[in-house]
Amino acid sequence: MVVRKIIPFAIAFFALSFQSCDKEPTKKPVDNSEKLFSVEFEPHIGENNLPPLGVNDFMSKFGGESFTVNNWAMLLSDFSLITQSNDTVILGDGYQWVNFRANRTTFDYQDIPTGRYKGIYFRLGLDSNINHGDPTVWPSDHPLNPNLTGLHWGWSGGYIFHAFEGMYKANDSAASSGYSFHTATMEFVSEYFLPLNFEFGSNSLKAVVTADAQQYFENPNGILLKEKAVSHSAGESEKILMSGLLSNAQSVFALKIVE
Amino acid sequence: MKKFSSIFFVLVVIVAFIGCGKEENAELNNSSFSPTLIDPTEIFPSEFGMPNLPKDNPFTEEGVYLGRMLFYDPVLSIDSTVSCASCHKQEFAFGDPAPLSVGVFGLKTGRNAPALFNMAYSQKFFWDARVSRLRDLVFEPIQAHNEMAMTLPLLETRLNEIPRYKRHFELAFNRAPNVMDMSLALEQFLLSLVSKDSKFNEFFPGNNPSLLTASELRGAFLFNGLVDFDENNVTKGADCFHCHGGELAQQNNPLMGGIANNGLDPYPTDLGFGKITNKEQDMGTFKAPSLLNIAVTGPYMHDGRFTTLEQVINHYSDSVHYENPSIHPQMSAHGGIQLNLSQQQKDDLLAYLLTMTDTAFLNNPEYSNPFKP
Ligand code: HEC
Ligand code: HEC
Repeated sequence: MVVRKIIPFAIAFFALSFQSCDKEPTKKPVDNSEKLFSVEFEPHIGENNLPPLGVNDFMSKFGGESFTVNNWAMLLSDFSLITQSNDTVILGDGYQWVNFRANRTTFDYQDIPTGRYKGIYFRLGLDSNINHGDPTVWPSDHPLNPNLTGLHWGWSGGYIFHAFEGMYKANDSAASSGYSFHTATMEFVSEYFLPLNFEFGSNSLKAVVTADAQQYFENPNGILLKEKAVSHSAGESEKILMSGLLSNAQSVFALKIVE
Repeated sequence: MKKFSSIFFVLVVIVAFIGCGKEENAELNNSSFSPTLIDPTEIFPSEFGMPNLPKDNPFTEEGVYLGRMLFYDPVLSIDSTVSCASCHKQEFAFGDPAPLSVGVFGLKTGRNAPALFNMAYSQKFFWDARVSRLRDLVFEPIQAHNEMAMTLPLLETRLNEIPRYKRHFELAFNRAPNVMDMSLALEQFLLSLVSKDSKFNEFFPGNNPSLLTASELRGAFLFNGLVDFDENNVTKGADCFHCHGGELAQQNNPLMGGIANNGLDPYPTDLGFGKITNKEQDMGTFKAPSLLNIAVTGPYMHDGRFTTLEQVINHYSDSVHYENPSIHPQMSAHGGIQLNLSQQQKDDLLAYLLTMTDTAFLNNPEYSNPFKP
């Protein structure tokens, strides 16, 4: 079909028809008093940032294998800042959906109290009542809306808390095949505290949380994908693999800088 | 082609200005303009949740009806022979039983016409996911030389010559017929197509096992189970749900399997989504369709290569091209060996797929040709 050639015209058409009909464009005054606290998740594979690394870039991992990251998504709950005095300041409603391949990685929050903080906290996973509650109640742009994130089992009920998928090669000359880790069920809710002292004063701040995919496979548990490359948190051997992966996940995330 | 482009561009500019003038005049037309809003909860069942609807194009009785008229009207094509419904037929869930559809002058489309329903839940449209909004999409078939081959200025003139459109554009948008409002009306009608009443939907997510026969139920476990071989090399699951899961029997998140390569060929022939993104990993990936109404939407796949569901199941069981460089990781995560389903397993899977037909949708008079007596 040649229809694609029409798109630019259609776009021009739209643009022009709007432009020409617009009355005086009203400029909104910029509100400088809007102070933001932002969190950016910054994905890596080892030393390399994930974009520009594409899904065809095989990076070496534990045990002489290499791997790509095709999809990496997380549902956070109780996403919060911890104050020096151990109080919790929930970011938004505490839920967030991170998708590294869809570049959904930066989140802005308003109305964060000034003060001294000692780190960021989140869980990968949900409370049981939410996890097994009705997933259709969430607004269409909410992190818990399955139509938005695709992170719901549908069939067996409950959410996927954490999806990590790609291809791997057992050695340089081996053919590639897929791996897929889907964390789910209450047994595999995991929590993360990323320490770093900082003060939130009169200016906006941005916290950068690094996420290193390589750590899933090596620190502290060496994981060989040629032995098993799939876990969806069900079945005994899958559960053992998932536990290993999740204890490694503690070394995946770090709060790098707040500035 | 270049020459054509610039002529077209000039036309576009002219139309844009004309359209603008009309708008201002038309707005004065009718001060008591009040189309009847439709509450989206009347359209979308609570089991599906509320989709992300365009905020600037709310459903109205008049808008949906105008969209329906336009969908069934061949005046949208250059020689007034082809309507949207020529290729998207309700009895086939708005798909086409021909592998490639026939447009004006007997010309064929490049791909199989997909079924149309539950699109309010989709983030991307067309097999190669090249469009994100239905109001933009409708301009493609209307202008494609092998579908309706229409030009927008001519279409606008034509609609203005037809009294019923003058009346119905007025009722829906308080303006004379114009292609922008046409695209909004079509968007409303397309978004209002909801299929929700299959046996599968009654059963999902497994609440009501007694609704299914023993074979259908075994099929449900295969469909919704992971590939996992026992000591006799028999797999417990066939893992269809990752890309065709949930109540909609469709994964709508592009990254979670919503756009994928399911190993049809050793190397992609039609580049699909890869042609749009120009990325190697997207070569030969396509939008994963909903499997609702799958019994009536054949032939299957973007090129209509499979005539029967048995052939589709044989593909997934015995002939997946795991060596395809852009195959979805989920397809090969079990080690990239063929599933080798037994005949019984294939029959069970088929039986389950057959529970997904929604005859109420296929016969829903609200979606039918409004011009028929
Ligand atoms: C000549 C046959 C033909 C006609 C006429 C036609 N279509 Fe299609 N339609 C197709 C084909 C073929 C595709 C798939 C094209 C592709 O994916 O590249 C398609 C795709 C679509 C899709 C995308 C569905 C999805 O889920 O991705 C929509 C929506 C659609 N058509 C609506 C319409 C409307 C509205 C009209 C009338 C204005 C129309 N079509 C006219 C053949 C046709
Ligand atoms: C990795 C994602 C994925 C998995 C897993 C998957 N499919 Fe698909 N399926 C697709 C995609 C993508 C297409 C469209 C492919 C194309 O046309 O090129 C498709 C097409 C189909 C179609 C044809 C739909 C139509 O309207 O033409 C059927 C039927 C189907 N799949 C059934 C199944 C069954 C049964 C299983 C499990 C055995 C399964 N699929 C597993 C992604 C997947």
